[in-house]
Amino acid sequence: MRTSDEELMMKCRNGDMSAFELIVMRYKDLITNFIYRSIGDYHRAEDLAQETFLRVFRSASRYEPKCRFKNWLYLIATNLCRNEIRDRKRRNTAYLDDLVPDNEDVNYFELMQDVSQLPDEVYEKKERQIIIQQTINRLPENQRLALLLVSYQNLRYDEIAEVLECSVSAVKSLIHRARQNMKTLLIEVGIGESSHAKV
Amino acid sequence: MLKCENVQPQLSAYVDREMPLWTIQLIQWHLKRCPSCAHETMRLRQTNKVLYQLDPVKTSDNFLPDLMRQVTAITVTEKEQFSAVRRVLRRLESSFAWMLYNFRTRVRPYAVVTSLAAIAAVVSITLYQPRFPLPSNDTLTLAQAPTDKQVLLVEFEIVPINQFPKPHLSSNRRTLPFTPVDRHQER
Repeated sequence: MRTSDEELMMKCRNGDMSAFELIVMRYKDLITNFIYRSIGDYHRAEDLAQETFLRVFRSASRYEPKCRFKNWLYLIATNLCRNEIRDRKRRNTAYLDDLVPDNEDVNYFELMQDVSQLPDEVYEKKERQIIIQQTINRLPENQRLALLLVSYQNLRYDEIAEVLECSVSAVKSLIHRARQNMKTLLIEVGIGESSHAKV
Repeated sequence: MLKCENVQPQLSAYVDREMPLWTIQLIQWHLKRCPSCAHETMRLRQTNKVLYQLDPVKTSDNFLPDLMRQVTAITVTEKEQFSAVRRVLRRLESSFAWMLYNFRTRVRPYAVVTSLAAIAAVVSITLYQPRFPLPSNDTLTLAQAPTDKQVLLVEFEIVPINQFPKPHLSSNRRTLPFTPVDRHQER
């Protein structure tokens, strides 16, 4: 039987390091992905993911399983993302990573392993992904976070409300506005136009 | 009937299936009749599809070792900073929290109620004191009375044989609970 996250966290609170390691193994990819999509910088995303887990470890002694561990973890990651986005805005920094795709060599190498795709297709796919990521980065902070949480992390609306510390109806409207904006921005960059209507 | 201005803000939640089933059915019913809302739904689904085109990234191989190194450094610093007494207190606090957590998560309310009821029953039976004293061994109880014959309680008084009273013939005299049968007549 799979041990629940809350149980692992309580073991971690008692000083069980293997429980903490198991938690990291469970969530490291999810959290790194979430932060990467929020800030658009792979190396910084990894640093922030590590910082998220360090914060979890530091506050383990005060941990009370009142809410789901997953939501608490995303809450910490979201706060870090918010700080990073605001820092970048304040500094008005254009990171090299924003201009050049992250871990480019690794992704290209993985894509090139797929012999079913031609190099042109690989390049096109990569270009498309960069454009989509840039479009996500253009969304307002809260809308971006809500959209990422629902689309990539498969969180329910009530869970997102807990993470973003707002009401469920606010989450509903945030996601709706985020999708509307995303739709408009994608049309601007020439993606997402189609007339095949299916309900 | 639903209006478009009411349906359109709900479409995103409809796409994510984040609404009650009856609302989903109402919106589906509306979408079959309203091409503009149907088109809007299709566009939202397309936007979602575009978002799913992004490949997930994986953490580097040294993510976990790096992190565990930092965690170990924190633990060592804490050990240096805090005294032994404080560490023991912290440990006790954690153990207490662990017990509380287990109590909250594993103990079901109905189990608690049943256990409490059982304890109350045992205590009340143990502490129960009967209102009347229990019969002693030399007293004949009703259960011990012979059951094959009818028992008739008769008041009597001892009188000398020469002063034997005349039988009562009053109307309120208690009659026998059975009628004597003449066995010779039966035969």
